[in-house]
Formats: sequence, structure tokens, C-alpha cells
Amino acid sequence: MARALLPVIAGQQWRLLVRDRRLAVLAVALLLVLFTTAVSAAAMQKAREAERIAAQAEEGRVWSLQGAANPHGAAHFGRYVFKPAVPLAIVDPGLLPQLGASLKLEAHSSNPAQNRAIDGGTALTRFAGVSPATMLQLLAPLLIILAGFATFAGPRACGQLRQELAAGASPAVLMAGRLAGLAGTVAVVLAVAGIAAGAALLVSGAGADALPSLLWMLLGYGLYLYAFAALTLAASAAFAEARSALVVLLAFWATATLFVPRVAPAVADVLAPTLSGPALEAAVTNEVRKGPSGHDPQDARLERLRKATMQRYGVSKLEDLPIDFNGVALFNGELLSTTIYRRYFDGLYDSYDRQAAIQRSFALLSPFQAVRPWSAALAQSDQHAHRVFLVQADAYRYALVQRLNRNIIFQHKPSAAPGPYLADVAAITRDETFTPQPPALGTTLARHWIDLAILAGWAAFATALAFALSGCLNRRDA
Amino acid sequence: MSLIPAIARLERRRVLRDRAMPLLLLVFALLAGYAVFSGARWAAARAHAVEQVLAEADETMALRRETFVKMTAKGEKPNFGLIYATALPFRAGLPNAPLAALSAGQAEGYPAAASIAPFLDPYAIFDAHRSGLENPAILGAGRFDLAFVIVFLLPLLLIAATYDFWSREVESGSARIQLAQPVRPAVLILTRAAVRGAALLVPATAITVLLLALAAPGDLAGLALLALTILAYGSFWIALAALINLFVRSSTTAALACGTAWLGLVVLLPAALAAATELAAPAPSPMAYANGVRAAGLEVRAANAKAIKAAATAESGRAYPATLWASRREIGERDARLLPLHHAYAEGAARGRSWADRLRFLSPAVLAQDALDRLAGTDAARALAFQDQARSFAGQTRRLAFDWMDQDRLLTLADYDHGLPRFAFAEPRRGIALAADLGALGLLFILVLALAALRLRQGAAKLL
Repeated sequence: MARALLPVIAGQQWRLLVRDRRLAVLAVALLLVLFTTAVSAAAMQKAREAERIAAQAEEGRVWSLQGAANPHGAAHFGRYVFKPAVPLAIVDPGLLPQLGASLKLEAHSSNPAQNRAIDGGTALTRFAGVSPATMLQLLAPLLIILAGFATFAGPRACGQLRQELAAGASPAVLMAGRLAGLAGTVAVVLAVAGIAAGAALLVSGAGADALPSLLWMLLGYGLYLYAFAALTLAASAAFAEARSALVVLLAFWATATLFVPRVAPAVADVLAPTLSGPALEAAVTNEVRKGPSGHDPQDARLERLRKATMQRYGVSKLEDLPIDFNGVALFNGELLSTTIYRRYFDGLYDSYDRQAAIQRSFALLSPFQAVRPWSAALAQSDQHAHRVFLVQADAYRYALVQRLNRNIIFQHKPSAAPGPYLADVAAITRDETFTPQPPALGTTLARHWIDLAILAGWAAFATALAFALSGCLNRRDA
Repeated sequence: MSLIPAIARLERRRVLRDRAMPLLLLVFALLAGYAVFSGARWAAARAHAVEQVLAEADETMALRRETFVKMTAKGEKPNFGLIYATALPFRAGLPNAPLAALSAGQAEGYPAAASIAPFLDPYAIFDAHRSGLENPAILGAGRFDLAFVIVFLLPLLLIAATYDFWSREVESGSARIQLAQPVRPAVLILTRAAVRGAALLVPATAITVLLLALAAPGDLAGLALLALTILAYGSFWIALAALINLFVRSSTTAALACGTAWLGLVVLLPAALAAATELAAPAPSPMAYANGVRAAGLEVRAANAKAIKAAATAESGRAYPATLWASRREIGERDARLLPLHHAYAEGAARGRSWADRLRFLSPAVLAQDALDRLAGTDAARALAFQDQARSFAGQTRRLAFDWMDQDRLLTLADYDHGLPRFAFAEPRRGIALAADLGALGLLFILVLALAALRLRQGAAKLL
């Protein structure tokens, strides 16, 4: 009999939720905002991506405009790469506003990405950034709390709960039915989010490739919101008054979605500090100057290289070399500075990863700390996806600069043609192209399975808590 | 005889008996304490980073001096960067304001330093300092500073203290008895709201000011303005809670309404205003700007190519080589050619800021944030003032180099020992903008009180 009651209770809970006009207004508002933000983000992304493609083509034209130029001068003039849009950023822009969208590639230097959306803002900028992900991470849990906080306290106040228990419905069955009803709200929110994201992907012109990532993302959100639903019912069963349940739930929501997400990065920054920009630049410059060992000054290295090069070509004077020694020095200098830069940047990115791991440990206090990295990783709007882009861009930079240096080495004959060496740099570098490849879905899932496991853990814990606290219904109302 | 003192005394007694009040204050004190620690740490790291940039120029000059001395000792003639004023390195840095620990504000969205060289485009001097290497996840989450505690969390605590101060009385039936007393409902309800709210707001303000004074002593005027800002912002939230209590009849509904108001005013409205700003004045394309500047630079270079080539083998007959005289002509042309591009881009960005500055008056949270950023010296206006001053300093260094070229003056050991001209930041005036923020917060507070007064005029029956 108890099992037969389950769909009845779930249906009753669902009807109550649908009939609550205040809730309906809030739900429709949330879903409308979700839909609007997704579609408007898609339209904006489509326009920006078109602008980026045009700007990248123009950048190629500007590079060609140099005509006959000194190859090393051209390497300093450098090239710009503009980061391509990622389709699911319309659902979760993640860290994109903080990451920078342009990268200058030049000789001797690995530059960080520039032109971040957060640059040049005002006090209002601190409040910007509402996206479908914000709706799902911040507001949907609130909607679920508002929908469910009075689930048991309301019927308890008017005596209905006592009747339900007397009719033979056990507290566990009541909890299961109500949980199923509230989970229906979660399903509706997710379905609308999925449809909104799908529509947004269509508007942005993205292919179907993003759909598997979207489905994985929604699975994470499903567990996250279900955990809030179960916790809400647990609190509703535990407290005699709806008011107390609401206050506790709102306090948890504020802690989980506002407080912990701010505290966790700050704690991570204290526990695993990173180098500042000037400190990293100073360290690299110092190492380039003094050598990786700290006791191998630039002049001594250059002298050794000079001797080794002359020995290789069997000459005793630089002027007798069949190649341009300046090019050799530039080639070796680039190799050294790139090795040093890459080591420092690897260290920096590893420390970001350490900070991310510390932040993840706060997921024990808040499921938000798991759903945010999960969502951003699948949207490829997180730090790791950016790192992958930067690494590929630096490989391209190195290849480009060294191709120019090789041209100086083998094409310039200082003795034959005195004066500045000029060459068609566009022709020299024509074969060097940059086509960044985003991280594969499998790699992302392998890196972030722990987030999904944490969310599943929260869902399981919240369910267990709800059923454990359903015992309170019997004690108070039997 | 006024009944206000009696009502206030009664409410104070209620507040003292409320076990939640000390807990709320303790929570606030802990949050504020951590925020001050976190803010002070951030401010120190930022100051250190700026100092490191400033030290670069001194280190370069020290190295050059060493080489200069070695070459002279060997009887060799120092050359190139060792003697030409055109190669002098300069740095400019934006120092922290005294209350920087209060708010990270917009500081991380603007360069805090500039690397200047006489021949460098004055608009390119910030390029190396535009993006720090802070973990983007930390920037994305936002700094846990006092501004966050005040703007986001203080209203929640004030709501927790006041959300049902009257609706609970209505729910329990005691409101009927209270209104039956010979006292005007407005006096009764507003006095109770004021006393209850002040019981949290005043100590919270004192705690904030005290903690910040310990972390960053010295700026008494700033601390006084901080107290004023917190009181104005907090009063708005107390008034809003009172207004909501005049419309709802149950504690639960009051909690829902206050929570929704917080969400609307602190999260959704500012986000909508930010989106509106982006639509009204979209940011100019940095990609098109970069391409435009590079293409224009190449055009100037092409126009001067022959002269530069000729200068490579020509003798100037002056202390400075012909190549530098040719470069001097080229950079003059380049800067004149690039200036309209820089101005157009800067104006595009300024339009967006101007919209944001105007729209801030619609949101108490943004107003409070703006005031706190200005007090901390981490606001956009101060960062932009630094950029203007650094560009002006770059102009001075260029004039210095050109004067030395004109006078055929080369660097000597005495010049190395004398040191380079140094950048000094002049604090911009912040009074008007701060007054506007505080005035607008006051007006919003009065607006909410006026709405409450309208409700109260409808009679006591409407309050039950």
C-alpha cells in the first residue's frame, strides 16, 4: 500500500507547487531570464566570433604589410592571435571575462593574454556576469528552497500531516513522494535550461559537437539541484515551523553560494601563493641574464657559442662563417628564453591547479564548489582550457620566431651584403599557421570526474539526511 | 510628552533579549576581521608588485653604470644605451591609497605601472602591465574584502535582524494591542525599526572602522566617510525591511520578501544595469584597435624607410648618431598618426564608463560599492588619473631626451649617480563623486521612508 501511495503523494506535491502563484511567478521569471540570457549571449557570441574571424584575417594582412623587413625586427613586431569563442560559453562563460582574448606572440617573450572583459570597468563591473550558469548555480537552488521549505511545516500547521500519517502513509513514503514531486521541479528547470542552451547553440551557429558536453553539464546541474531539493525537504521535516526551516535554508544557501565561493579562493591564495607578474618577469630576466645555474652569464654563453660555431664550420674568424652568427645567437637565445619561460609558466599554472584543488576541498561545505568547475570545464571556459590554448599558441610563437631566425642564419650573408638584412617575412612564415585545438571531452571528464563524484556524494548525503529526518514527522505528528 | 524614548527603551530591551543579535554581530565581526586580513594582504602584495616594477629602472641603470665604469677603466669609450638619453628607462607606479585594504575595487582591471622609454608610444607604456598573473579563478570569484562584506553580507545580516520585527507581532496578535496604545503608528513602527536596525548597524560600523584603522591607520577623514557610507547604506536596508513589514502579515512572507529584495537589489538589478551598459555603449573592439595601430605604425615606418636606411650609413656630425635623429622624426610622425586611433578607442571605453557611472544611481549596492572603491583608491577614476599622469610623465622624459639630443649632451657618470627623474602620483579629487554617492544613498533612503509614510497614512487597520 505504501508503495502505491508514492505516485499519489508525488502528484499531490507537484499540484501544490504548480498552484502556488508566487512560486509560479518566480519560476517563470527565472526561466525567462535563463532563456533570455542564453539566447542573447548566443547572439552576442555569434557577432563577436564574426568580428574575431575578421580581425584575425586583418591581422594576417597587417603581418604581410611589413613587406621586406628584417626578420628579427618582424619577430619583435610579432603577431596577434585572437582566442576563438567556445560554443558552450553562452551557457557558462566561466573565467573567460578574466582570461583575456588577445595574445601577442613575439621574440624573447611569452606574454600573458590581454584584453580581458573585466579591464577598464567601474564599480558596476563587480556585479556583471549574469549567465544561464549563474541562474542554475545561484538562483535555481533558491527557487527550490522557496518551493520546498514549507512542504511538511505547512501541512503540519493545519493538521493535514497528522491525517496523512494516520491514513497509513509512513514518514519515509511521504518523504519519498514529496522528494519525487520536488525533483520534478528540478527536472523542469533542467529541461528548460537544456532547451534554452540548445536554442542558444543554434542561434550562435555552433554544431552538434557541443551537445555531449552540454548533457554532461546538465547531469552535474541535475545532481546539484537535486541535492538542494533533498536538503530543503530534510530541513522542512526537521523544523516544527516553516519560518525556522526557511531561515536555516536561506543561511545555507547564502553560505554555499555566496560566502564559501569567495572564501575558498582567498584561502587557496594564502596556502598556495603564486608569483606576481613583475616577480615572474624579474625571475625570467634574471635567469636569462645569469643562466639557469645562476653562474653562467650571458657574455660567457655567447662566447662559448661563438667558439662552438666556428669549430663546427672549421673557421677561425666569424667573418669566414658561411652563415650569419647573429642568427645563431638569436636562435639559441630564443631556445633558452623559451625554455625558461615555459618552466616558469608551467610552475605558475601548476600553482593555479593546486589552488583549484584547495578550492575543491571546500566542496565538503558547499556543492557549489564542485558544480562551478564542472560546468566551466565542460564549457571550456576554465583556466585549464585557456592553458591548453596558451601552450599551443606558444608552440606556434616559437616555431614562427625560430623560422625567422633560421632565415637570418642561412640566408643572410653579412660579408656579401653589408647593411640591414631585409627579407619577405610573410613569405618566410607562410607555412606557419595556428589552429588551436580545444581539449577533448574525454580529457575534460578525466580531469573533472571528481567534481561529478562530489556532486553525486552530495545528492546521496542529502537524500539520506532527508530520509533520516523524516523520522521527525512521526515523532511530532503521530 | 514624546513617546519615542519609551518605545526606544522597550525595543532596546527586546533587542538585548534577542539571542540572535550577539550571534549576528559575532558573525559580522568574524567576516569583517577576515576581510580586513585578506584586504591588507592583497594591498601589500599589490604595493610590492608596483615596487618591483619601479625597481627595474634602477636595476637597469645600476647595471649600465657598472658597465660604464668598467669600460672607462679599460680606456674604452662607453656607447649606445650607456650614453644616449634616448635609451633611458623610466617607470611609473600607482601607489596604494591609505585605505586600499578596504576594497580591491577595479584595481585589477587597470594597469598599476608603466614602463616608459623616451621613444615609446605614450599609449603603449602600460602594455606590459595590463594583465597581472593573478589566478583568474580568484578574480572570477571576487576578492573577499570589506567592500564585499559591507555591500553583500551586511544587508543580509540586517535583514536577519529586522525582517519580521513587525510582521511577527501581526502574526502573534500583539500588534493589535500595541496599535491600541495612544501612540502614532508611524512613531511606533519606525522607532522600533530604527532601534532594532541600529543595534546591529552601529556596532557593525564601529567594528569595521576600528578593524580598518588598525590595519591602515592615518586616514581619519577616509575612516569617517567610510562610517558615513556604511550608515547610509545600512539605513536604506533597515528602512526597506520596515517598509516590507508594513505590507506583509506573516514572518515567512516577510522573510521571502526581504530575501527577494536583497536578491533583486544586490544581484539582479546591478547585473541588469551592467548588461544595459554593454548594450547602450558596447566596448570598442580591442582586436580592431590592435590591428589599426599596427597597420598605421607600419605605414609610418614605410614612409620613413628610405630615411632610416640612409641614416644607417650616414654620419650625423653630432653627439647622437644619424639613426637616432631619423628615429626621432619617425616617432613624431608615428605618434601624430596613432593619436586619433588611441583617442577614438579611449573615448569608446569612456562612453561605457560614463553610462555605468550614471546607471549606478539606480542601485544602492552599486552606489555603496562605488563609494567604498573611491575611499579605497581602487576606483576607475583614480586608475585613469594615473594613466593620464604617467603619459604626461612619459612626455616629460621624451622632452628631456630631445633636449639632451639638441644640446649634444651624453650621459656621464655624474648623471648615473644623480639618478633619473621620478614619477610622483598626484591624488585626484574624489569629493564630488563621493558626495554624489552618499547623497544618492540618502535619497534612496528617503524614498523608501516616503513609501513607508504613504503606507502608514492609510491607517492602522492596514497594518494588521
